[in-house]
Amino acid sequence: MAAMSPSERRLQKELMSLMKEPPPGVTVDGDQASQNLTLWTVHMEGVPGTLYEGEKFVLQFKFTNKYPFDSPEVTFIGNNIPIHPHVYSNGHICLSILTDDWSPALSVQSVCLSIVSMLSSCKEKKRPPDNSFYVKTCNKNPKKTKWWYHDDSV
Amino acid sequence: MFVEEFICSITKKAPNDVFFLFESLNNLLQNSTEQVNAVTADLIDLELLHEIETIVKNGNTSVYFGKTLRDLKLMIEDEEFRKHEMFIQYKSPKKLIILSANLPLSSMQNLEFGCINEIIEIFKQHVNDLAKYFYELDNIDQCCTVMEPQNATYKDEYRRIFLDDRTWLHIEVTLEGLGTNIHLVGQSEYWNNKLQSGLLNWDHDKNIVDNIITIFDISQFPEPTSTVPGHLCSEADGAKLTTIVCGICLCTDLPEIPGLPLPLCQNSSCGVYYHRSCLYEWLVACAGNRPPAFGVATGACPTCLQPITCSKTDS
Repeated sequence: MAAMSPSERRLQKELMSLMKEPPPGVTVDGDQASQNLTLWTVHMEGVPGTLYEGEKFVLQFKFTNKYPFDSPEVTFIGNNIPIHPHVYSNGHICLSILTDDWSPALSVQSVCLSIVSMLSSCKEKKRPPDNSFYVKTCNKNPKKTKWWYHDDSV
Repeated sequence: MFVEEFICSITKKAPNDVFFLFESLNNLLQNSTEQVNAVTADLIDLELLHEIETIVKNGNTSVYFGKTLRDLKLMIEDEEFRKHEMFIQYKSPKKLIILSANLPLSSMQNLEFGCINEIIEIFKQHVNDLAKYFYELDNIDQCCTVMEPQNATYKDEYRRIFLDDRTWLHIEVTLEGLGTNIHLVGQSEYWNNKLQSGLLNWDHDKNIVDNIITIFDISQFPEPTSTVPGHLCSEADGAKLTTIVCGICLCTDLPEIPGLPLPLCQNSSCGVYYHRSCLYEWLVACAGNRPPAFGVATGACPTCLQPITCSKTDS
């Protein structure tokens, strides 16, 4: 077997642990991820008792070979993008731990939990106020966006 | 006759059976003496094979063949029934060298020897000289929880002993069996005060473990509590040694760089360990990839965000 790079080793460990003990409502597509460790698809269910109860979402994680020193690129994909003040209709997520506040001690699991909690604490389903402008002008990679984290309450 | 192929085939069939090898080789020699002599002389020395045969028959030392007939492994038992492994190589007739062994070899490694028995004699003498060294290491490994090296052997001349989740005691043992270069890994004031005042009273007539017990004023050595917090893979099912993984790469061993994850964060409620190299890389990356002054990177602990420092190398 070819020697694994540090990022592959870590991703492999994270994948095993996420498949073995996934947080409630979160499932990772293990077959796809083990074929290509740098591209993961994670299925997420809206938490019962919240505005997203019964809804199903799909998250995509892209990793570079600098992971975990470099944060993953995380977007919602598929035809159900959650309607949320921090989620743009193209799937981009405004969440500080995905860029400025990233730390190598975070993991796919902790990012998933942050997104679950971000959705769960939402009080009103609406798109971000600058949605249409952002979606028209943004880079494909949300990490290229200079985010302005304007609201910590949701 | 393809002697090399022939020898390959018999060593594959019975890699450690010297008699079989010897018999087969003899048969071969009898069958085609002329052709073989020229080739075997280069491949293997008959005198050496005879010597191996005698050594194995005596039974005190086991001899194994390695990848080629020139590479030999000796398994030598000492008076205390410890088994010592040694790898030697046949260079040319009456020229053997020691490649490595499971204990410190000091100057033996650069010498040339005429025969295997010569090596065994010198090695046994060396092992006798190291009696106190073995005793001290055995004693440490029995009484203390050794965090590093993992699966320590006599080849490792140092031990890192668990004091608490944030502090280990580093101690090196000289070949004479004396403790040296004793210091703490981690910056606990409590243990450090005891160490500073206690080191003056270190008594080389007493064994190392007793000295440590006196210095730190402990009745028994602390053990890690169940698992060290904050780690994804703690597969220590009741085992004495918990698996410590680095909070950044999630691994214990790094193939590229030696060293285990260390208690580098001094926030007592954090408890996450990091490889020095991983933490250093992260702190330098956070500071815009500028090499830090004096090789000491500073920043925030990736887990608890408290201030943390990390030097590039283990001091």
